[in-house]
Amino acid sequence: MIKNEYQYRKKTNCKDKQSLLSKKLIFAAIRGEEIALQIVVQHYDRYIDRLVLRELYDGYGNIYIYHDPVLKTELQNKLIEGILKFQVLE
Amino acid sequence: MICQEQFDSFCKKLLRNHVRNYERYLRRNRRRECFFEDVCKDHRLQQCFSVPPYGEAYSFRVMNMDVLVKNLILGAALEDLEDERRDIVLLAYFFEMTDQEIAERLNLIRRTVAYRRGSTLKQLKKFLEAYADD
Repeated sequence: MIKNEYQYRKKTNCKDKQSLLSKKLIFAAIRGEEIALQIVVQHYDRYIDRLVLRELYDGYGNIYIYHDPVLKTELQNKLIEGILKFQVLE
Repeated sequence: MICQEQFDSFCKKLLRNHVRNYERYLRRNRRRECFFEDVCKDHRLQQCFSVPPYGEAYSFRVMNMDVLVKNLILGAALEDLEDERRDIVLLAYFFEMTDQEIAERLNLIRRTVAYRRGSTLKQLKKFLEAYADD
């Protein structure tokens, strides 16, 4: 079931921003299933990409947009760490 | 549905918080950072290490000891000498050894050392005078 969703998301490349992850997937991710975690990380990939952009200035005042790969890895690790700690409140 | 939204906002909050922490960490580091050039001038750091002035000095090797001559003119003059004579001059004036000590180290008699030292000094003088005239 999860595998199907994974393939489906891969195929459609998950273009629509508003789409939420399915309940099943979330529970699987909380249990620590690898494929589900991959999907979640993939789902937030673009969000992360936007967060890690940083502006750098040089001596002449020019702005450079820098994509910080260190921060990106940290964020992905943090995300996985956080998902495993997530508690569902009913 | 509630659970999904909860999860979504949880993840986003987590990521945003981490970014904020990271920025705070960078800012804290930036306050304490300074240019290496500025640090080099600080005498506290200079106590910790010394930069050997290679490249701007002549270096000679006598009895497994390195002698660095910072004065380029003198270095060039010394370089011009024969090895044996240069050794005598270096031992006599850089290590402040007496003729007797030098003679023992180099397996010569004292008079030879004294003579060579004298003649070498003349040679050096000639070289340096020629340089001064230029």
